[in-house]
Amino acid sequence: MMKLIALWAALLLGSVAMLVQGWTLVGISQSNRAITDLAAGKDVPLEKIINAAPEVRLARAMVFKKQQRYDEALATLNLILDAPDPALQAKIRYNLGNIYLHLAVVKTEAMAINEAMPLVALAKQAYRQALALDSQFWDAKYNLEVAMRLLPEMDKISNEEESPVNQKSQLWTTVPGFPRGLP
Amino acid sequence: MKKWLIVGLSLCLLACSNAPDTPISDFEFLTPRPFGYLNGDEIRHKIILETRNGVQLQRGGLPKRGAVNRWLNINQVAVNETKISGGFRYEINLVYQAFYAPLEVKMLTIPSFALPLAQGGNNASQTVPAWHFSLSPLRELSIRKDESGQYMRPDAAPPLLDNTGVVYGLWAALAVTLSSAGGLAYVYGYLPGLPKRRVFQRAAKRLASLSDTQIEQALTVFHQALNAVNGAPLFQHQLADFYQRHPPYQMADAQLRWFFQNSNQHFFSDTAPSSNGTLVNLRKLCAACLDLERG
Repeated sequence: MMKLIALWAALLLGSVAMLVQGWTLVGISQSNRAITDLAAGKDVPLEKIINAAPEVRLARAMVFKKQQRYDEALATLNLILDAPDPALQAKIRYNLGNIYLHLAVVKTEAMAINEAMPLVALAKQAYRQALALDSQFWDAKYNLEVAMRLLPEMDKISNEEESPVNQKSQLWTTVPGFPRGLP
Repeated sequence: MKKWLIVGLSLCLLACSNAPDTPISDFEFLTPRPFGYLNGDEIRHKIILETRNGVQLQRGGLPKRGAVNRWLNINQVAVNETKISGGFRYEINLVYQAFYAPLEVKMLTIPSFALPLAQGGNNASQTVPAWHFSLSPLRELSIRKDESGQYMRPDAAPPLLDNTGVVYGLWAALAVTLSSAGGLAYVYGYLPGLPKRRVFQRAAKRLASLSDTQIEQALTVFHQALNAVNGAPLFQHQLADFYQRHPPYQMADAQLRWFFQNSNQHFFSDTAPSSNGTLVNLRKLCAACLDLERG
């Protein structure tokens, strides 16, 4: 009798598990289709985005960025910053840093230095967070270096540089801009 | 006199040596290569410390996770403590991460710090030396736009969701469902080629179609069922042997003995026994055997 009950229970559990896994698989397949569509520039209905996986919303944010809707892109990325997967979180923070850095470069080229500085600081922070999650994230290393060149940090490595005389030169060194080199 | 002088000097030298009195019996500072690092790289340091006389490391004094200075972070501080004879052995793993963008190869320094030690009210410390390493730039000094007019590396493409775990789960659930369904089909006798599991099921069906006037047929049906399970005609005196080969049926021993006595009376007695309730009891016995057959 116990054997019979165990068999019926196993059949019930197995069937329920099959339904749940099948349903999840369909959901994943739909999410992946949405990501592919967004990456190809196709529109995806908003109701499919609102409760979608962070990967789908990341794809949506990148579409916003392509459309130069930066505020919406930043808002979307900020909503998924705490994605449970560290690798995905690193990508989200890296893409967030890219938006800030892109805006900072635009502002710098327009000589809006005061507006560019906080954007570079935010970009650096985002890249650092991405690298803390994945220290082998080469694109994040590269772009962090770009951001650091754009707005050199004030931390002085040698003691002579920390002398009060050199503190006066800080204003000059914090003006954002890339060294262009010689022609 | 000269001999005593040499002995005295030797004793003095021994007394001056610090081996037995210092709280630390071993200190190793294991570091990786000191060159070839880039912005964002992690640097792993390992410190091995062995103490004597029960001297313990004060973990509160270790460097904390977080920023050491503007360009250096500590991402991980892990201490592994083991007891050794007379003291403790500590393995301290530190993971630093450097965020610095030099214009050329630059020598940087991870600052020195002290490991605080204590034994009762006595305190001591062991200095971990500063560590110098060189960090290189990732790109040339003058920053140019690439072919697409960008200064920076492009965005990370959103990854597709991984369904591997779900697919495995689906296969596992399918396997459980199929195996339990197969088990049930076997128990209920729905599997072709396994007739023995359906012996009492068939007998129960045939008994259900008989009436009280067909007791002999009913008894014959049940005999045939028992014979089919036994593989040969089964008699009452063979029940013990039958139970050894088919232990579950021992649970119906009393009912089976009743069946054989009733059968003997019907087929071999001169006086015809009363058939009141015989078919009902036989159906009950068949149902009990059907349950035993199904396990």
